[in-house]
Amino acid sequence: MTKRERLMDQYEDAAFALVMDELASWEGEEYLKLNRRLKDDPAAAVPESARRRAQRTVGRAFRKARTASAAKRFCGAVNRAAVVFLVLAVVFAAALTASAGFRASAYRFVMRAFDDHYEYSFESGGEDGEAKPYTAFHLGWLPEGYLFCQGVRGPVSYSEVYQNVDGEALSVTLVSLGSFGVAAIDAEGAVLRRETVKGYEVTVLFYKDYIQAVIPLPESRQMLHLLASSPELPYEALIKIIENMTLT
Amino acid sequence: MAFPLQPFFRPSGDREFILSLYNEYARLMYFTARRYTAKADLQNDIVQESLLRLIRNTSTLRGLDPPALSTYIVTTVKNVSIDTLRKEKRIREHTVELDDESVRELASPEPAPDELMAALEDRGRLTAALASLPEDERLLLEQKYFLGSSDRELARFFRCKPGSIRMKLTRARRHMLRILREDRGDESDDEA
Repeated sequence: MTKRERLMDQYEDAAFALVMDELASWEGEEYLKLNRRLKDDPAAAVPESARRRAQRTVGRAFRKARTASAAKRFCGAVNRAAVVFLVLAVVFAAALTASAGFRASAYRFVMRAFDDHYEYSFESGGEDGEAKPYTAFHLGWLPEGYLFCQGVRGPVSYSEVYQNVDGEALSVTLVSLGSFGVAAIDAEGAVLRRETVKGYEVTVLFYKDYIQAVIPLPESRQMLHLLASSPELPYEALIKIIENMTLT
Repeated sequence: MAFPLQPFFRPSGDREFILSLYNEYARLMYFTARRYTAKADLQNDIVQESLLRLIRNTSTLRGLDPPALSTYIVTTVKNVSIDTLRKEKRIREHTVELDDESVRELASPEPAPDELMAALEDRGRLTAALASLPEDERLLLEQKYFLGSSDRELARFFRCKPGSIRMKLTRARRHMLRILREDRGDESDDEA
């Protein structure tokens, strides 16, 4: 197509767009008159079953769109939150994984409370031992409706995100703190609850808009972090998730 | 060190908007579908699929005034009807093949769109010109300009390559322009 032909084509297209816009209005006025006549015509009534089907179709379509949109946004948000969390761990961490000849002492998990955050780390003490870090986890139980959304592996962590049809999400992260790593968790507005699950000390932090849980793994100098987007997730459900988790 | 978690979906009136559209135009949608098939189950399928297409274009629909909105809805139902019947193999597929003759046609001097703008003053002439086009050309112009369909969507509907849809559009537009000019020519003869 030559330049002139292209310009002519654009001119035609614009002219038609204007004219067809007018035509749409004119035809639309006729359709509106027809619609008014049909609304007054009992023979044109739409069966109740068809109306109910239409409501279900619309409801399903919007739920699907909302879930897809929420999944994209939450996965992004959790990734951002997880990255913030991971960055804090990475900034303070030094030796992360066991290497040939490396011997680690038995470590105890320490939690320090500050005005606006808690810090978690491992301090050495006791007999020497070899750190064998876990590399993955499997969730043997999830609340109904939660499906796997995505997995993210970083230099010192592995995360999985799950979501249900209502857009509520759950992330689980395995973090390697090593000998010198320190993880920080927001304390502002948090209400703490502690429990022992399968020999591990679990700290659950309840916030206005979400829930976090921290489970130290002293044998490997790692910790598990859970983040639930819904503050309504039952405490028992959170504990059950942890109870049915296996580490590999 | 906060972990902000925002609401993940905006509170939306889109669902209520679409439901109110359905309540307002359901009878018109079924009326349109009935023009293509007498089978109630197919009419239902057509209206449901039309609803899904309208949902995908909610933001466009919200910007239309009632006349343009009703044209958009009716045109959507017409398209879905044709698509549905094609799947049911009840009608022949609409195809327009570009042959050498068509290419020669396009190459010849054509009436300028000024003709079109002049015809804006006569609603009846424009409406009649559009209605007298072959069905596939009329559908093509309606989908392009009433629904704002993309070249890719048009190519899918008309079962042709995306590259050739521009040529088909040009052909349809110029056909309509010729009809308007011929119509004006007839009027001039009458006046003489």
